[in-house]
Amino acid sequence: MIRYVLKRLLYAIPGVLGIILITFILSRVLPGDPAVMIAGEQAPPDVIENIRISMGLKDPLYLQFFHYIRQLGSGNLGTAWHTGHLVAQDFATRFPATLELTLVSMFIAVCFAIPVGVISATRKNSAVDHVSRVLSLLGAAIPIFWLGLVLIYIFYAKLGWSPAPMGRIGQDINPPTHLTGLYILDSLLTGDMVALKESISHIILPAICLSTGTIAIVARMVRSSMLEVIGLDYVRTARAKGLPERIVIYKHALVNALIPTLTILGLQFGYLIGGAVITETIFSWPGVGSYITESILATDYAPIQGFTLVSAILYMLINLSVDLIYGLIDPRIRYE
Amino acid sequence: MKVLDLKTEFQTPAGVVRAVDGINLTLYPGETLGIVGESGCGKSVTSLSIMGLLPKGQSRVSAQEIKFDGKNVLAMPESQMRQIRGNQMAMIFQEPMTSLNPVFKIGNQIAEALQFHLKMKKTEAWKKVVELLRLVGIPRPEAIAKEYPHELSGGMRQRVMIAMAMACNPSVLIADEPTTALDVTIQAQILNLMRKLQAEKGTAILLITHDLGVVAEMCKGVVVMYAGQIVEEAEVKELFNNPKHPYTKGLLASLPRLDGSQDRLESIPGQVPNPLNIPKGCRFAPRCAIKMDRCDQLKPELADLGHRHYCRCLLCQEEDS
Repeated sequence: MIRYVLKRLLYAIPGVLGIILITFILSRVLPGDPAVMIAGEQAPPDVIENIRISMGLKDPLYLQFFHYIRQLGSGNLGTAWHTGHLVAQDFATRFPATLELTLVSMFIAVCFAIPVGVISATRKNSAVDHVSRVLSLLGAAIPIFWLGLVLIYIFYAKLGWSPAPMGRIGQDINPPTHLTGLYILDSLLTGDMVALKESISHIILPAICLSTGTIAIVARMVRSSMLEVIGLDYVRTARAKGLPERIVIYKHALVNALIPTLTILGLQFGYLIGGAVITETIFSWPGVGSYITESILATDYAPIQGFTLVSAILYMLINLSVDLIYGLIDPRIRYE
Repeated sequence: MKVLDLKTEFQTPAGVVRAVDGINLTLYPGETLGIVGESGCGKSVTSLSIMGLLPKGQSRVSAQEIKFDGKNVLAMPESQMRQIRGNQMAMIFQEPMTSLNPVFKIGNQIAEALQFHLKMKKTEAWKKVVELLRLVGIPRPEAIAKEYPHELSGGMRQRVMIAMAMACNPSVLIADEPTTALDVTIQAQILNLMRKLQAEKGTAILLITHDLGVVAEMCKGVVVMYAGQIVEEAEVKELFNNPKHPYTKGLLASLPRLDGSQDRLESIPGQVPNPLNIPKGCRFAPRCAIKMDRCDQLKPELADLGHRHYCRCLLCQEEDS
């Protein structure tokens, strides 16, 4: 098992190197000159030229790449000039916000999608099934920016149930003591009930907005794999034992149906953790998604490259965890 | 157990298909009754109908009665039927490779029925599981109980299925082609095991098979099914020595003989009729070697030939009257 994990990590190295190379090249060929962005468009040409030289932008591309790799080797992702911080530092403050949003929206998605998928499958072609299929289709098709704005309009502007879509916690409320950076978890750990209530009420709308697509995809996946499993011999065996339908469906069938669903959940998780740019922007969520948008607009190479690298590694780790969870659920899968 | 006038229909896009049409069965305690017939004659549907395991909504099971232990099973609500299923009436399936849930330990799958029906505690159920596995001849039962189905061979899995079915000491065991998917040597072992358990526990077995050899070895009575109906019913010896229905004769003639008195195996020409398009008269008429003109028009009844021997053929019917 440990050998398997190590082997997988080892295999990932060429992939990560390839990603580093591609992002490096892509960020260099993008239009826009960071030296001009730093100095300002009205700056005298010699100033701009000096900045170019000091940033190493005049070096040949392979040399720049070599410097970049050496810098990465020492664990340095570079400095983001548009914030003035080290990229790693910016990530450390931004990333927990994205992670928290992702976790909550995955939680919502799983809580909704699995029961909906199961009910759809067990009552195939019933009214419930048709409604949930239409909703799934809608959920997958609705543009996130539209949904976000509608949610804000209804729950904040009209009903007033939700706080203003501005960040993770009210302006006049102190964030909980920093332990993990996840506000909900931190406020639970420190027993800070005010911060807990605030952070939950702030996260609900963006999390719902972000989870809709996942709910739709996962519910459809659960439905189709449940339909497949329900017709199998061992489900009939479970019924022949006289077990109540509830146990037949939720134990014997669902556990097997979850195996393919897990793949989708893993992919979605990786996708969401890469920063939900639109959602974060609409709800002014201070996560990596909005940070990267700012960096791209400012032609700030270091954070873009750093972010791509980090998310590639995260994606790979998530895939690895999904594979390991397979092994936990399905005894036929063993890793040696 | 007594089944009277069992009819099972399926809703298909092409129309209503009556897969089982008026079956009567009587299963006496401690006896084995065989049901034989070709694929598609309705044997498996009969067994699933009795167990109430056909998918609801797509199928309709009706019968005058399915009497079990003095009660009409068919009239029972599902919750009550569940108390019987897997408890007093259990079933073994054809495919041991796919009939066990791949993600749960064997012991847990057997223990489930014990915990549900006999309200056993977990440790108590586990003890019983090990005992059952030993009973069905599984070596190292303590270790095997903790293994997963994919770690066992087909024969072993079928033993596990039998252990599962016998867990609550059922009075009726329905075995749907229990040995079809197994090697011949394993087949004999499984049949011996079933016979041994039957002798010990006095279980009545309804054995569904297409293998006349298995019937000869296991059963007291035998029912031959064709296109959803019983065409002949008799005690095993009588049926083998004195088959009346041309279909039964054909089946017996298609068996290889040890004395070498035949050059080639006989076969019955044609196929089982399409259930959407059942012949108007005798259902076997299109394939019958001794077909008469009136066979196309008249529906034969099941004629009583005495000594528990029945046959659905116009010839027998005319003899009878």
